[in-house]
Amino acid sequence: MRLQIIKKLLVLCLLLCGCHTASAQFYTVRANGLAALTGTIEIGGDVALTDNWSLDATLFCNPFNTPSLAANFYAVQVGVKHWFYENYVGHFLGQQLIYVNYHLGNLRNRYDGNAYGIGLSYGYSWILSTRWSVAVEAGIGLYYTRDARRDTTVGDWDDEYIYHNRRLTLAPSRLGVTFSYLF
Amino acid sequence: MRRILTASIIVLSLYALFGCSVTGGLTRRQTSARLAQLTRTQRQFQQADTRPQIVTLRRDSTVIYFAPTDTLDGERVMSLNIEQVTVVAAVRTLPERMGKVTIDFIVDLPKELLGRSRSVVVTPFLHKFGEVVPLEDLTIRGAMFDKLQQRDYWQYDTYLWRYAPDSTRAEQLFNRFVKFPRPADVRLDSLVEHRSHITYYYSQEVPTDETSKKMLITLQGKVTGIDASLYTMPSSDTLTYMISSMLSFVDTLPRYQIRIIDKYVTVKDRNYIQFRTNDARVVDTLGGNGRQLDKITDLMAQLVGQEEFYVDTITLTASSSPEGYYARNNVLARERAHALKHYFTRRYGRSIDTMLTVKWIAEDWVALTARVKDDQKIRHRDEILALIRAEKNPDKREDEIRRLFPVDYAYIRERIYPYLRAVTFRYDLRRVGMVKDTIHTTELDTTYARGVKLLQDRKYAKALYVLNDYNDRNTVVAHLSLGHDAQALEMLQTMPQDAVTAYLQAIACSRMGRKEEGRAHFLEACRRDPRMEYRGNLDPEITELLK
Repeated sequence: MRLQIIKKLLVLCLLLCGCHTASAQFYTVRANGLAALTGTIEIGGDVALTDNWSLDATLFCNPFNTPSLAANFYAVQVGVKHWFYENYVGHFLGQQLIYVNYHLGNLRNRYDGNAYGIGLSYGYSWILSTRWSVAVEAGIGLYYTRDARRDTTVGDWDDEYIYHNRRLTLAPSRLGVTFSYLF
Repeated sequence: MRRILTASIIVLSLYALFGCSVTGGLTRRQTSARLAQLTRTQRQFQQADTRPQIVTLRRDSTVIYFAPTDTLDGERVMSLNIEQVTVVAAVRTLPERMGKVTIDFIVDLPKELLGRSRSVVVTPFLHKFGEVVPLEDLTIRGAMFDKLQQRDYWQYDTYLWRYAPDSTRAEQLFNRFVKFPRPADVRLDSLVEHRSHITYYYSQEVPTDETSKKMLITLQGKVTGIDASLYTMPSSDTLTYMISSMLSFVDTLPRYQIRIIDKYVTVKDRNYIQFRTNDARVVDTLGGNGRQLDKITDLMAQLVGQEEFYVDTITLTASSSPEGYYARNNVLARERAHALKHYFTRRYGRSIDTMLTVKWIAEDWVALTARVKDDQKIRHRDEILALIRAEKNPDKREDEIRRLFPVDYAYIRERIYPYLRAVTFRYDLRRVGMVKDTIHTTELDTTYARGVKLLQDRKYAKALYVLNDYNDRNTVVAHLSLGHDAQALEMLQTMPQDAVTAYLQAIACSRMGRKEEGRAHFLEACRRDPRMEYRGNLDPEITELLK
């Protein structure tokens, strides 16, 4: 399982590197400040495809796994953004494809699983200076999740019931205040 | 139901977000910039009236204020002029000085027009006779707009630096990256952070020409948003300026000059025809003969053929140079003269046979003397001249010169003799239809008329050049239009006094700072002609005198 995740991440990195050597485009590197406040490391990059479209990829990592609260997830998002005025300036509409692998839970229940989803988001980017911008973005996604729920407080001698679920659910796909640097 | 409600809310919010453009609101409300004339106090302020109403004196840390005072009910009170009303007429009169007129007005930009993501460009247009001239723009950009421009220029430069494309591609790239190029050649290019009401004082010096009596100013403007939406402002009010100039004082009465016409006129023509040595035949291929003979014939044709004069006689004089014996030269000259007459008669026609008389000069000592006198290169010039005067026999004369002054003689023979072998034509003409010997007539002085026209066309320097010698009112007007006040005043003092000269003296005195004198002249002008009082309103010099 771990190996599979690593493989997927590698493929994504190669994709990004491939875009980097593509001719003639400007690209940015992003980091989400709001996510950092919630303990998630979210970094990503955009590559301009045309004057109003850009391709973006983001990586999420939240390492929190404590007995009282677990919000451990790794996610990869690949998407396109349509900018209304110009690349990296002003309003934009984004569509993403998401893969999340998570281990969430509280004192009693733990959910372990993965989800595939598509998301739609809207944001606005302000220019701070020639190379820096700050954007605010919010998005919602539809996920197909598959996980196993278990009760962690079950004693050693009791029966443990593991529930496997599959569902479609709505959840935020993007939420944050990102700072980006333009190359 | 709930779903429909949520769906409609989402659709409406999306429309609200994306249906708006940056300049949409402006297009709905049709906001516009305005033009305004300056009020009297503003005009005075702009002319830097250096007489403040309150004088401030600072000494160390104390500040003392001086204000003009008045007495009201026995008490001294501060009296200040406050302009209450700011309504100004749309038509204004401007004086033209030195061929230029300064047009000024206020451009008023309301707060709603500006914005962070917008660029406002306002262009005043000057309407002169038949042509519309755009003046320099005023540009006001928002903060976000400016940042976008910076980023676009940076992207363009980075692209060039990375990929170094050729010039046509570079131009395409410029158009692709830089959506809003920075303005160039503008009167004002400013960045505004916050929305505020902006008024700008615009002043432009315009050269005047013969068609400038009325000038109009209109305003055109547009607002561009960063989403490339464009809002063109509706046309603004028109400001009208009437140009008043010194030219209303130009004296347009025509001038006449006296011309003397003679009944008898003489035309003289000297040509050099070459002959072979000791030969009298006219050879038209020898040397420059062809051209000279053509020249003579053309002149003859011209004079005989024209109808203003009768040709009484044509006298042909052939002269020879002194070398050789006098007797031989005499015969040669006579034969040559007759040969020429024969040639011309044959060439031109029998009609001149009776008109043409023939004379000959065997040895042209007169011309030789004249030439020697003027020639610096002959060393023994005075001796030679004395010899010529003393010796009566021409052959002996020549021998003496050759013997005594060989070098000079060689020079004379080489250089001067050719000019003595000449054919002179003298045409005696008589004017057709004239009985008296001379007539004095008056004709229109076209030079003066041309000068007056140049003055009216505002080509002052050229007009002065033409009119300078006449020393009359038009010369004064030309001087004043060019700013030569002292000369104008001097000239005016010598001219007979009337309303116009008194008025012009008032203007000249005002310009030179002699206010009392100017006032006296202006009052004199008004006394002689009451209309001068109204004319005084149009000239700023008179307003200055009456302050």
